[in-house]
Amino acid sequence: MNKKTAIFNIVVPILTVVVIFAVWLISSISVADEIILPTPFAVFEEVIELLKTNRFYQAYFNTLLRSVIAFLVSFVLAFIFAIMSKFSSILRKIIETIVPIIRALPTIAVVLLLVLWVDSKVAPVIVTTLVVLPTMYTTLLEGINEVDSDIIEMCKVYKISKKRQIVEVYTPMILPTVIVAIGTGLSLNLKLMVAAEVLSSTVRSLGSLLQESKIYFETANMFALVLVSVITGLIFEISGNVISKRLRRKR
Amino acid sequence: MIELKNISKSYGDNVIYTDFNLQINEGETVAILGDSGCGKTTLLKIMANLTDFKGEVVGFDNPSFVFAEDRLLPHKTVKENLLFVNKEKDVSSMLEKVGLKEYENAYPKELSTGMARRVSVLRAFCYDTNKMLLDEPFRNLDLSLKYRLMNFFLELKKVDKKTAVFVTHDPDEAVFIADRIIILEGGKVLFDEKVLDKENMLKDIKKILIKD
Repeated sequence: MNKKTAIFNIVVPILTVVVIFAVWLISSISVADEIILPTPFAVFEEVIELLKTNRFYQAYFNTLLRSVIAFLVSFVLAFIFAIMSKFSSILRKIIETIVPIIRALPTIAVVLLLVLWVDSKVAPVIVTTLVVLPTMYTTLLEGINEVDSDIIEMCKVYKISKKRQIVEVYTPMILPTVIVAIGTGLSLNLKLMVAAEVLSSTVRSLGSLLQESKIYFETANMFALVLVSVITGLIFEISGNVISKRLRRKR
Repeated sequence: MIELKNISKSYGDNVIYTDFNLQINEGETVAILGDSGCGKTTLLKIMANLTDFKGEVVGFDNPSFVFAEDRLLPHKTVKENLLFVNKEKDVSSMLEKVGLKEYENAYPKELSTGMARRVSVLRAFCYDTNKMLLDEPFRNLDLSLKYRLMNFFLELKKVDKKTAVFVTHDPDEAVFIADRIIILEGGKVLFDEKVLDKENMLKDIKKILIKD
């Protein structure tokens, strides 16, 4: 990495975050009401307080676990759908009829219905899976379609079975794209999970903590919870990008 | 004997072959020359069953193919790329013979153009078949590398007597490698001779190709 790129990649994002915090600080000072807009310092203090409580860890890891489960389900389904779409035109037609319908489902309506039908711990998992599935499917199918047709022709010449093509050609070749998608998918998943937990009133979750803070006007606490979610989402997304870049560099 | 019987092929309205016939002897190395668009690569694709066509190709099942591009899998090492087409092959000893043993764990990205070409040719030799197709395998290579690779091909072929059909634009390359030269024009065989006297053959085919 040369000096110019280093500045671009490290200094610019740091400066952007500093500016965001500065705007937040100035705004909170001018509003001068901790219930409407707490200062960043008050929020940081709240984060530290949160990190001292068992209740927070229980909620955080429950939400995280639910996000990961929902993500895994949507990822596996999306992968199966993408492979089926690639190799069967009839299945592609069926899947491409279903996927836009899933994409168009109003999230809130689905949560409200699911709360009637299933447990409040399960409802957010189903909603998140349904919302992430179409995006994952599109990303994976695009990745599969981008695999060089010349390579596939080579496989045909050398009589490589479809199973070996999926395992030895498609999967490793789309891996960098997939890892980025996993990072962004997990981040999106967490965001949706928290929202779905609020709507489903899921006990011992980040969503329920947020809901409680709202009821008691603990705005700094709400901000602290949001900050923790944002940082977790960013960790997912950045990790995906870093791993993907390493993989691409190796090839 | 390999036979192409009554081959017809067109891309939309563009007719490439109509009732085309050709016979190739086992173990022969045949060079196919001709102007761009005369159907050279299409002929290879027909023989490899990579395109739809009417007619019949007899006695040319399961050929290996050296493509104009290397088409190596970027996520597999040199050794893994060779094993990809034949898990049974002792690829290490093959790599040793061609001076690539120390690169067996290298990825295609780490190879020079010439090395990648050699791996691509070697892959075709690894495949368990005695038929081989080559589509301009030495295109865009500098002269010394081209001759090194052509010698490498001839050495491999000496050990492994495959029937090879290769397409080229280069008369020198054709005469250097082939036992027989075919020139195509408008989907028909314009010239078909065994290479007996390389010098005279080169003059003859250049005359035809330059249309002097």
